[in-house]
Amino acid sequence: MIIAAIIIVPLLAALAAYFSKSSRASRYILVTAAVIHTILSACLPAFGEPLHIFSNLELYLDDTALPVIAATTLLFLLTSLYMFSWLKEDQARENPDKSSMKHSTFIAIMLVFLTTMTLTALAQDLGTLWVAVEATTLASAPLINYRRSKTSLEAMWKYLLICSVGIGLALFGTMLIAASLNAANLGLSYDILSVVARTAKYNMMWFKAGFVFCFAGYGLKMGLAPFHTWMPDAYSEAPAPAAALISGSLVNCSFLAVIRIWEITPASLKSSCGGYLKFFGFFSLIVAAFFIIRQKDFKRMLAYSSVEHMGLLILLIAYNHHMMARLHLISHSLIKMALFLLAGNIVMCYRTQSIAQVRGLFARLPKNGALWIGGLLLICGTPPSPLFFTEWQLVTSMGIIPGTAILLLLLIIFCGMGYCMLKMTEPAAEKSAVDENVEKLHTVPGAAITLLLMLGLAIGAMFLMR
Amino acid sequence: MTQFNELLLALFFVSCLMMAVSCRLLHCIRLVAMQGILLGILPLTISGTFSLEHPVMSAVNFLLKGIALPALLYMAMKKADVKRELEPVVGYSFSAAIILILTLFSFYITNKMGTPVHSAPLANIAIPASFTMVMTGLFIIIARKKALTQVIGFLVFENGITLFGAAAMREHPVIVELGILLDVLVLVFIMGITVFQISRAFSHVDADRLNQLDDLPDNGEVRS
Amino acid sequence: MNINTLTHLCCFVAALFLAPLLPGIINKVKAFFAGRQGPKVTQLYKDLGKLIRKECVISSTSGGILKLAPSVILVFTVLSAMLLPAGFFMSPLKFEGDALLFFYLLGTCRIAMVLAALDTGSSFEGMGASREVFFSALAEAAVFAVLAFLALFSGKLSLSHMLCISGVDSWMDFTPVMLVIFSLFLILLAENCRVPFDDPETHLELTMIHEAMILDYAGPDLAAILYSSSLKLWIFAGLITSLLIPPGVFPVWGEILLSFGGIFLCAVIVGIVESSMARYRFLKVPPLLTAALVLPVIAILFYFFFQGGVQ
Repeated sequence: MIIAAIIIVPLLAALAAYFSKSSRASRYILVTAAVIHTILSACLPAFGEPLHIFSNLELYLDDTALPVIAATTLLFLLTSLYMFSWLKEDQARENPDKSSMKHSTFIAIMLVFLTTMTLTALAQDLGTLWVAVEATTLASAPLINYRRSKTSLEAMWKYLLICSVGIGLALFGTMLIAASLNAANLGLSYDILSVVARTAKYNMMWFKAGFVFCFAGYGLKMGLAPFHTWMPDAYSEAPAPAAALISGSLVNCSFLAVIRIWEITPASLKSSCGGYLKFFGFFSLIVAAFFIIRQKDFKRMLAYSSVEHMGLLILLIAYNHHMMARLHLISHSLIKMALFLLAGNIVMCYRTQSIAQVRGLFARLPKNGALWIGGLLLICGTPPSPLFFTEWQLVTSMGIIPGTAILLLLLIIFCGMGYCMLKMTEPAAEKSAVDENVEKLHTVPGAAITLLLMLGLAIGAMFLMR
Repeated sequence: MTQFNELLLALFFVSCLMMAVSCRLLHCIRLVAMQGILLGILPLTISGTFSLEHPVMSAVNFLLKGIALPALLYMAMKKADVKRELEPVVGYSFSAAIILILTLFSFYITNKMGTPVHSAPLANIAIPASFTMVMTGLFIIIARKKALTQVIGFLVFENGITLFGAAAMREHPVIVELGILLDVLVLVFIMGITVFQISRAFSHVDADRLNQLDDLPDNGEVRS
Repeated sequence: MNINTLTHLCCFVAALFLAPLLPGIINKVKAFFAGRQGPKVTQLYKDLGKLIRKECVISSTSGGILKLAPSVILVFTVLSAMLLPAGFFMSPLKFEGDALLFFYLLGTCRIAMVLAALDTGSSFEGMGASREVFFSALAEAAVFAVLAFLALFSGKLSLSHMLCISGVDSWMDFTPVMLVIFSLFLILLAENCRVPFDDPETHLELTMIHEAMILDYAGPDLAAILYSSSLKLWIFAGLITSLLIPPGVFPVWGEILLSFGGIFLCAVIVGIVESSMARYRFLKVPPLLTAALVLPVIAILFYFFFQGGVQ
């Protein structure tokens, strides 16, 4: 029941929002749907009995997907609260001639996007998983083109084409995995596949080919280097709430898909397939480090920071820190969302994404500026950020040489971000007044960062107790 | 029946080849439509066994991939007012040679991997055919500049995956198949609209000239 | 002289007499599609008769090659026609490896024509020669891919054996044979300067290829060249037809009738192709010829993998 409701409610809300007359009504619908979705998600672990569609297909929430759905619903709730006031402000400042997408359409697409992400988490077989992940691409693409400018159109096209090809590769991989089964038509549910993996009933050659394709496909959607090229474009062009949602929860869905594939990998292939994970994890860190240090655009910088954290997530999985990966996933989602919302506020006030052109952040946006610095410090893994603990665990467990290499890369990233932080808060030459309207928008990112700080402190306390 | 299936499979190779040497978008769209129609027929004839799901999926495949998607592409082509791919990244003769290499490679690799256990009687040709189509699709996406041609390449890629599914005899539950088809339909629909918007906003549809977004813009200036 | 040789000889003589009909048929078909009356099917016979009665005019700047070339072309084309089997009657001249001789005889004709064209010193003819060589160099790769397929398919290197495949029925391995025939048809169009490659109608200096090379010929020399090119068309159509006709299914007269009918049908198809499409731009020709090369290679792959799969 709950499973059916959690899928149907946002869809109905999307319909209602699409046909609602005013922007105000659709905003109320958005927030209501987000609240209902959060409540339903909270009920899921306890009361969500599996939903059967036909005989061999079911949807339910299992342990692996728990952090993903938690992050999704929390982020969506926060973003929709932010959007409530943001849309009004954006309409007045950026969009007086109403060239952007209609608010009701934008909200409807966001709600469809929420449905597809929920479906990804609930899917219990590789086929449904693929359908849901592809649907997230389709639903998020129009969000990027909210401004309807040339650059946003370009970003949307790149996003659509690159991600679709990637997801297509994942479909091919799924088919290859299906073909590698040495038994009659079993279906592709994770349970059955992991049993198959234990009993070594795969044709290893075909399975490995399938793994490579699936990992490449879902990894591309996740933004692992060298398939990350769509990420900076899409993030820098998407409006703040869409960028927050895509960077915060969409990538988690793709990460979930990678974990699913990893879980059904038979033990004899774990070492060779784990090699791919480690390679791409490291490579993402390296690429992110070198692009962050020379970055001139702070939204793109955040995008490369996502590439970095996706690399870290993959490394955590490859080195078997599953609990830490979950913690990393949730904390990264929250901070990244807060940072993208703050970046949106800064862009709204300064009308530029260039680091060099933003000066005197504290004078014009004191609260936003403070949160921006706090967020950047947290995402670099400064204690008591939860990311500090996960990165610490990773580095200590992986041996001296790779550990040092990772620390070095993290240091480079920290330098890049620190430069950006210092440049932007440098006092401006001329005095300027506080931008009150934008300053009002700090609540939601502030709440997210506070939440995260509390989480970090709790974990720190737990570590000290041990 | 075997000869008939073999002929259908040969047509997949030929259509890939023709697509690589053809500069007219209309030809490419017709070839994609042909592939879609073949994909509608093939699952019925290749397996030898019969179940109720086969005709349904065939009909849906036929209607969507053989008729609806090419029609969508055709409309996008009309609206964006593009007819030809004039300056491809890779020339046409060289493209044909590359298709040859891809064909050889896919025969080699599938021969090396062996056919999956439960596969169709003609899998030793159908699987290389599907590999060739997948690679041809990717090649077209890389080697052509027009956004519309890239969508066509994506469809070839997608057709190859479908063919693989039919040849390896692994069927997803019908609802998943329908979901996959629906995704592809919506994707092509959105892509068609985007192509039209690109042609309106930029007055061309060359994907390689969509280069305003870059990490280090030439003029050193970051967009505001 | 046994019955096989005799039949082949009769067919060969008949071919020599019937070859000039092919351009006539093509033109008739084109006229039909254009809604015109068109010249008679036997027009080329009359042209040849007229040309033979005229005298030759030889350019004063040319050397001996111009005079020599028509006879070389005529003799070599007729020779290669003799190597071609008629229906399933193998050529009496056959030997292992005559397929190479066959194509190189035709190649020599081309060289003779190109040298003669260069010999006149005219820039148009030089340009035509250059294009002719360019296209035929590309077509040659396709020809050899087809030969490779046929050699693997029949296990023999003699043209007669290749085309009158007795062991394997070509209709059993329908698909690869179809691919090869499609490729052969493209080669036919390219080698005989038909429409997508060259337009035999045109007399615009910049676009013509074959016509440009024979601008300086007149009288009996021109007659020899025109006759040889119609015979060459016959030869290529014969190649395709004898691949398609299953040996030993029909009685002797049926077989002969079928193969002649097939050749005429080929001419009709060429006519239809010519009326339905325009000449390709110069740069679009190489892709088409590369495609003609790829098809037999796919056919080879098909043949072998299919053999592996049947067991």
